[in-house]
Amino acid sequence: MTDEELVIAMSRGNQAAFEAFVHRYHAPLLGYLERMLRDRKKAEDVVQDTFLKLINQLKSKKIPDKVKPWLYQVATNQCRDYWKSSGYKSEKQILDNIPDQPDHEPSVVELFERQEARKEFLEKLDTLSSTQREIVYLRFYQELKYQEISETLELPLGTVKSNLFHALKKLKVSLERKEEVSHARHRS
Amino acid sequence: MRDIDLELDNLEDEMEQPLKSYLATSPRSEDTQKLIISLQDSFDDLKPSQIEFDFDTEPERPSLYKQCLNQFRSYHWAYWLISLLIFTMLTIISSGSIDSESMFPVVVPIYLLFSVLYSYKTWNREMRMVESITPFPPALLLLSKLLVVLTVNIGFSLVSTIFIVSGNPYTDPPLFLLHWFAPLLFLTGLLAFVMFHKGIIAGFVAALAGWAVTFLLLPLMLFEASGMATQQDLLFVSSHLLILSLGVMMLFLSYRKSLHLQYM
Repeated sequence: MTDEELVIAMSRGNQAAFEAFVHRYHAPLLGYLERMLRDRKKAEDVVQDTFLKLINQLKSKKIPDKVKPWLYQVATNQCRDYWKSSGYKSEKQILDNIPDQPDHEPSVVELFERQEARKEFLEKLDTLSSTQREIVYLRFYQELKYQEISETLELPLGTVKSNLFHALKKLKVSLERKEEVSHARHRS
Repeated sequence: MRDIDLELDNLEDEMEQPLKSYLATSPRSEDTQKLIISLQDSFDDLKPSQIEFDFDTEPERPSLYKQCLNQFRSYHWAYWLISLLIFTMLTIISSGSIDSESMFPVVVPIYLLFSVLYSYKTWNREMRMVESITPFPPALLLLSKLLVVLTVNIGFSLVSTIFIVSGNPYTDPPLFLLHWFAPLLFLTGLLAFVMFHKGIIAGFVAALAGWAVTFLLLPLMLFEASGMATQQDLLFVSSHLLILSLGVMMLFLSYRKSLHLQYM
């Protein structure tokens, strides 16, 4: 059954369609929001709000034409609202002021390396603009088509492609630079 | 523009691996259940009021036609392309052959079995969960998949037949048609019938055995039984009409069984 068929069945109060739809989109939405917000707890809250917004939309008899882009659009807008909120700003300030904790278990080398690699990768992603980051996440982790990304972010198709192109170029360059540095370190 | 698209494709391929390393945690099924419970109150408002009796919300009666249409839409474009290539190849080979009747009817039913195996992925648990919300029994969905594959094969085979027959004066059109049509229907019926009574694996084993009987044992028996050429044709037609009727009967019985069969 397509998303649209499930949502129409949901709008008629079909319990099985509702559960099937939540099962279908819980993991993808949570993954997207966790990467966007880098906070699992907050991501869970936003996922719930996104589904609630869909239910409210159905209550007002407005069934989205294309459900997938609509869902990601709602989720993305909620992230943007959250970043603009005073709560986020104060939280961020507190987190920024906390000094980095030293690793108390240096023997767990693998865990440490994994954390380091993740940190480096996040730093690289941070060099992208928020739009570029959104496009990369939607394309690579949610596997949305260009047209769907364009509908989700309300951007022209050409802009989506050029943003993705520049974002990937940027990531590639920083990846190559990192490899060069590590080669140089090994040599010396 | 095309160069940029190509470059973007290459970049995506190159960056896929590094980007895939950035994993996010996946929710457990208990988490999804909790989420459903937390949304339930809000969703309940969408349910029709118990006082109002809306007769339109009566479950729809199982409709094979509607299911076939739904299943038809679910096939990937790769399946159509592969089918087209296989039938084109078969047509080219059979058109040029003097003994065109030997190859084409043998391959068509085997391709049907492979096509059914291709759709095996849609019998998995996840698809069943989604499809279980429809008011149709799962066995009817399965039968509709079989019928879609059968219809597609018949469609392609008919087009191929027109090409083969028009290009080969030695081929008798009605006999050629019967030669592939009867086994095709017989094997589909046999597969459906055994599958609905004994399970999927037994269904495939029976269909393969049926294929061997149709193309190895039946010709041998016809050769043994016939003395004259005219008698040979008569025996061929009557034996193929018999397996055709058997196939149609087994398909009909399977349809009736599928309306009541909930699990396989």
